[in-house]
Amino acid sequence: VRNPQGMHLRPATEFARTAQSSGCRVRVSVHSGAAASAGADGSSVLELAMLGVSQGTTLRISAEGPGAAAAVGRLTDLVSNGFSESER
Amino acid sequence: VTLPATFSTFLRREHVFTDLPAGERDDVLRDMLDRLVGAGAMDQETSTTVLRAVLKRERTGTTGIGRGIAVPHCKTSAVAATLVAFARTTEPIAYGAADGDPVNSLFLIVSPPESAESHVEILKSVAGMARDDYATRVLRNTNQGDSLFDFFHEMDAKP
Repeated sequence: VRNPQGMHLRPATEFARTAQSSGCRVRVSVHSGAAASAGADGSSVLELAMLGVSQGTTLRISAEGPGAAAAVGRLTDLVSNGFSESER
Repeated sequence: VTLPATFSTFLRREHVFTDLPAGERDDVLRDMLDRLVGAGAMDQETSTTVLRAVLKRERTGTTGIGRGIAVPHCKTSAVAATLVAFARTTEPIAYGAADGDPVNSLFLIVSPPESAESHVEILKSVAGMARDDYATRVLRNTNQGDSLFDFFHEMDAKP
């Protein structure tokens, strides 16, 4: 996660919307060292917000269903582009 | 070891309002800011700046996260430190929330520009309440400020 603000409400909303439109079952978890968190439903803004993702966090994104690989690609791009947020 | 910042970490008892009359979203938010001025949290000029920033944020997408809860917020150099407040409306109000439900619990977060980490942590603690059936029931049914103030601390102390 590159943007300074981390995954606050607006990025979480955008992520959830993208996950929903993919039609896949998307899971997101936080990687800190060797441990991974329980994970969140990628289409739920609330669950994503509950991860408390700050800048520098590594996320693991997985998807299941038709077009899963493309969905993961789109979501990964979204995160690595800093959710298209300008520097603030 | 620094404990993560939660909503209750920043909350002062006198910034919990339980009887905001229902109305249009913008009017309710204005009312909330006026009460913060009344409670000595900020001056009138700051509240005008904050209200404008909060409404601007709402226009980019609702902060109604569902289950009767909204998280109006903004970043502004008008405040020197993070300030949070809670308000409960007497009746649920239309808020364009994610789940379409009206909102009666407003968690306001006003942060100075350089507070990225604490913002996400506060959001996390509020999202946790929205996900919790017990918490949403309490928020719907409690109009005692003291009880709610204690409740926020109790929720944030949960593992």
